[in-house]
Amino acid sequence: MTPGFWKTVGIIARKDLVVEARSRELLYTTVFFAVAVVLIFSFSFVVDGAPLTDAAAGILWVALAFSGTLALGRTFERERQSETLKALLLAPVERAALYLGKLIGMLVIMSLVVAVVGPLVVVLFRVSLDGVFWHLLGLLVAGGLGFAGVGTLFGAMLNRSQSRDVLLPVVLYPLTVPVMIAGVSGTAALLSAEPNMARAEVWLSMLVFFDAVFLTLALWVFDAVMAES
Amino acid sequence: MTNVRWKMFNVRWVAAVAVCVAAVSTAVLAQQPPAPEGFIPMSEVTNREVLPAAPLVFYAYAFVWVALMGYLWVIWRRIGQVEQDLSAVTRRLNQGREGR
Amino acid sequence: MGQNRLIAGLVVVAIVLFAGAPFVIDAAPYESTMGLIQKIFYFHVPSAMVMFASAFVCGIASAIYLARRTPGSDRMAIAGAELVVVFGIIVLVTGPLWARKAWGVWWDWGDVRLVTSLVLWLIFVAYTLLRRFAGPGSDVLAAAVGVFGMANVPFVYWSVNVWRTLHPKTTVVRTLSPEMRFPFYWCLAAFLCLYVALLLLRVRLERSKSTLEAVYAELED
Repeated sequence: MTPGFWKTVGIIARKDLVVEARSRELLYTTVFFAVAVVLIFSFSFVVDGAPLTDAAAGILWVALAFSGTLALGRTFERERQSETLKALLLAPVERAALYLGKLIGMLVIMSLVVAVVGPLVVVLFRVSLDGVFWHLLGLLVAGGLGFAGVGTLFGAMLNRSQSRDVLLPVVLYPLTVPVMIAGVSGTAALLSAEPNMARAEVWLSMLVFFDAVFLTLALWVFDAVMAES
Repeated sequence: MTNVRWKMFNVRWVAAVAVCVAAVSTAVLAQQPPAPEGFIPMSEVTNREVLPAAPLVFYAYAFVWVALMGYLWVIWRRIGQVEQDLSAVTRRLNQGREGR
Repeated sequence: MGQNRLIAGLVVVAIVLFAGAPFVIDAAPYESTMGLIQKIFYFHVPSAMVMFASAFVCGIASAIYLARRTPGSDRMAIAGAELVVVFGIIVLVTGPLWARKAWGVWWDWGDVRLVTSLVLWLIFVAYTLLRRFAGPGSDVLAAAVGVFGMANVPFVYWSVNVWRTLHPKTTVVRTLSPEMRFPFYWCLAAFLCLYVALLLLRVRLERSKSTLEAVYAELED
């Protein structure tokens, strides 16, 4: 008897999180990496002791994208070392469930990164979140979902390829340009001195649309790609 | 042997392209007018007169022509090479079959 | 072979059209505000059109390859992707040359089509890099990039558009005066002929390569 679809998704996500909870390698390294990225960018975008306008939004999203790529690389590296992805693919479960399980595991890691980097950016760049918190959270969730959705697909596919470390960002960054533009512009609209909620909502709706299209595509492609491997 | 030939081929091409790029860039840089000294009324200098359009149009067209014909030539050559190899190998294969 | 004749014919027609293009373009009237520099339009726009068309050729061929795994669609996808890169370079070189004169800057981030072309070009450069360096299984991987790249075009366009724009409107082709329309379609025909010829040639190169590999494999047995 094979478990139901959503149950399989839960089992796979939990498996990743349990492995991670034991070593916490991925979490510690990714979070520290994101913090380092924020600091490095702060040195280039703080002029005369004050940050440039909109720098906070850009730095937040760049840190998220960079650390997300790193985490994607590591999580699939781990699967490769012990050939567990192959074993998972041999299991009589739907491929779509596999993809969603890995995606959820990835999203948990990324949200923990945001939980550390977000407050850091708020403090370092003297940002005020009054009244824009939920909008910002929505942007981060929708943007993170789009980024991780595309990233998980290509991370899984690149799993057994040569030079996968460098090919993942090479493929992922151009494909997620709309996410970055929408995320940075929406966040900048929220964090400016006079928050522009309407503008942020336009970007948010674009991100939701992007997520819908690309997650659907990813589910189809994942099925086709992992079919015979 | 083929490897050495390929390397030579590459070095020659890199050198040729570098020379072309250098020539074009010096030409482009030479086009740029010296910075105006003092105040010059807007009516005397508009952007249009400072920057001649003809060289830009010429470079653009030349680039299109060179890039497309270059690509065509490269593909043509690669096809020639592969098909030459193919016929040589098929001949060997057929000879081997007859010999058996 | 019939296809050989077709390719040769297309190449000859394209070369004749390209050779005639300077004279046809020279005969066209000057644009009122931009003057001579506007003539870059006659090869900038056709190459951009061919580039976007090629992205769709690659995307559709990739989707067919993912669904059916026919080798022909894979070859078509390779050819399409490589031609996006080739025509993309032309777009990205002639665009700034035009912008330098018309807008006074080489590059303008506020311009939708320039930025969209750049992003699309990067996606298909990533495609060719994957094909070259990803090793076994790169065909399927690249096919996914092709499909995602095609699906990305409207998103990139829309997001850059909202970001800001100062490009001439897309409707410019339809509102073109008749004297300008003729050279435009002349150049478009030249680019299309050459594009189809290059596509067929590139597909044929892939086909010969895979035949050669098959023969080598047979030889080793």
